[in-house]
Amino acid sequence: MILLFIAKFFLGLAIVVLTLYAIRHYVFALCRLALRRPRDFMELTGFALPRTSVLVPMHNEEAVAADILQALVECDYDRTRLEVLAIDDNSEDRTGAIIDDYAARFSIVKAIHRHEGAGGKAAALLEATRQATGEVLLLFDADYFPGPSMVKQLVAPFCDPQVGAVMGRVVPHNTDKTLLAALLGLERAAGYQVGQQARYNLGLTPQFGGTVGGVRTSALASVDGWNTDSLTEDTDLTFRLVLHGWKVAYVNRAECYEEVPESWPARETQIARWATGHTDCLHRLWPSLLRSRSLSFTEKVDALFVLACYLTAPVLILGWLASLVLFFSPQMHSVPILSIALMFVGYQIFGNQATFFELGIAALLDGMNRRVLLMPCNLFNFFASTSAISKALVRFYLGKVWGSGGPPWAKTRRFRTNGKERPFANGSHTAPKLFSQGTNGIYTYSRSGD
Amino acid sequence: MVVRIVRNSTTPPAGRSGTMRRPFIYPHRSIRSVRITPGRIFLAAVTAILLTVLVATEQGRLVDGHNWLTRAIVELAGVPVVGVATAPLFPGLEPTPALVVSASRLDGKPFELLILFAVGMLVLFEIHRRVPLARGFVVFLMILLLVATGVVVFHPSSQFGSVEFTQIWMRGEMLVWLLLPWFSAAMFVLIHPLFGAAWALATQVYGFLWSAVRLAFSICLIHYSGILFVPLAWFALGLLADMVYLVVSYSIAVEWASRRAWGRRGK
Repeated sequence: MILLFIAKFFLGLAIVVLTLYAIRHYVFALCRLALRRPRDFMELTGFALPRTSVLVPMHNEEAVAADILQALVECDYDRTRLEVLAIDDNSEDRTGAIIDDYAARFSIVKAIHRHEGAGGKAAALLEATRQATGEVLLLFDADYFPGPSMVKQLVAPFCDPQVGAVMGRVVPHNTDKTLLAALLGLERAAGYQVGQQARYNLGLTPQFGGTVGGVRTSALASVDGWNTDSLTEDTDLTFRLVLHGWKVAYVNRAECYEEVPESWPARETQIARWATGHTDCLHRLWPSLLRSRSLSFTEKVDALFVLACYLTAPVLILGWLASLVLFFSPQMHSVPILSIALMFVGYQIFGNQATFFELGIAALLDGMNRRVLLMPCNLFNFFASTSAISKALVRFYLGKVWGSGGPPWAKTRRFRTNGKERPFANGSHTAPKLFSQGTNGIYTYSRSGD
Repeated sequence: MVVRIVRNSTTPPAGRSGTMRRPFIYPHRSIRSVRITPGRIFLAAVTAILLTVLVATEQGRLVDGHNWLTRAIVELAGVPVVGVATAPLFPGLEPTPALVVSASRLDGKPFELLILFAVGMLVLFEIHRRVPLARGFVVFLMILLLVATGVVVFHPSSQFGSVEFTQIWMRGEMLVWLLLPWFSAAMFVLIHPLFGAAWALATQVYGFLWSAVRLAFSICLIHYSGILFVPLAWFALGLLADMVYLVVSYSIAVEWASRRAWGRRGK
């Protein structure tokens, strides 16, 4: 009897929580579909470009370090107002040498070498921020491909004095490599094209993602800088800025190309870190968010939804276990129990932060005609992500109970090899070449199968 | 898509092979918005209401037809149907006919139980080993198989036959059939009005036929292996399979809408 009561309670909890998330995401999808985006800040005239520091933290990034630095030195921002701080964060490979080489060749590149102190991105950013001279700090992870206008696009929204942080759009470039990468491409499209843009359209808080984004130096100082204790210092900073009355802007046009995990272990590491960091932020910030006077009721509710999003995975597992108990009980035949379970099956089933209708809307807006047909395969991604997130959160809560402090920061594995052949997991293939050089010295890139 | 980039003639810095390191920066392009006109909303509402009314008023014939199809498939599989019982669905709805087949009881047959369990687990382990992305789903199925084995061994009175299973199945499916028009209207019709309305009807018909196939398969499982694989059949082939075909339909609808909006420029 007690077991049945507990089972019904958890199933009810799962249904309520996941139905609320489903409604929220459907509202976002519909708003993104129907509402025009706000005007681009780049369309404003008479905007003086502020002095800008671009921070690129790198830890063992020899495969990609040169790419990002080259892209940044080629950008079209005023050179007298730009500096690139390349941070070698305790690297054991040739990252430091590559950075030094660029610093020697280009005066706007400054090398920072860290060989002691706390590891992790937040610690590296903290040190670089101390040395930065810009009014605006832009952040890029080492595996990103910023376009020539990216710095201007990200800096433009700072002409609004209320804007404390800006986020651009992340677009995966390796979606034709594996099924997982293709599915993550769809998920990223939904997260940015629909989720972030809808939140911005609706006056809610788009999330500053810690890369392809920027923060105003004075805003950062007003919230006491980076939180080096957080695994997701970006999420932490977003909500601390919002609590201090700053706004976060989202620039969908500022597209930057990243590499998504091509193998499941890399994806698991990444999502476990996000889940732990988000949930940690939730525990630290929810009282302040609820008490805040600078946030409206809907902003508070949405902020809590964002921070608690990874808790839906264990809630879903509890609801599923509860329905399994009820499946074998006589209650099954009197209560249409599993019929209402439709609601929670229906929500997260095809993504973790993006529902399948958000994936569809993003695909429609981006013109991903063929790739959208992969959407049903996201079922596998869903099961794998749910399991990985739940395991990470169990470790997180056990760490809280035993005082172990939670898992350490873990870098996401890179797959790019700068044109060198790279064996696939089974060793039977080599990666297709991304581009080929013609006799006239012109490189041609073909996006086959995309 | 092809992008041509002129090579930088300077000596490549350390860490670069000399080949162009930035394979593509294609210009931003996306539709700013899709207008949801009153006409689209009206068409979506009409589609949803018409299909719901159709399902509600024809519910008796629907479940009879469903049962006829299920029986045909079960008999085709060589499973003898002992009779047809009736099982209540929800208040206000007509009861559903339910096929009666003899269910295998495994609680007194430890050897058979062990063999079936071992075979099921081996198949799942093999999939787990060969398909990394499916591992989460396979673990989910393994847990179901373990729980079902536990029920057969430790709580044999919880086992049920084809009539009870059909009742559980039809309750779930009836709700799906009643909700599906609203999902379809909200997802298909708003993005692609005329195709969406036709597609909503096609999805409804497909859902009806596919449900009969899955139920027939589950009843055959009950006949041959008792309750052992029933949780797998229910959780994997029940509402989850309904969700899969809904998503497949949706992805096709989006593909149509995207092709219409983007033409050959689509990715």
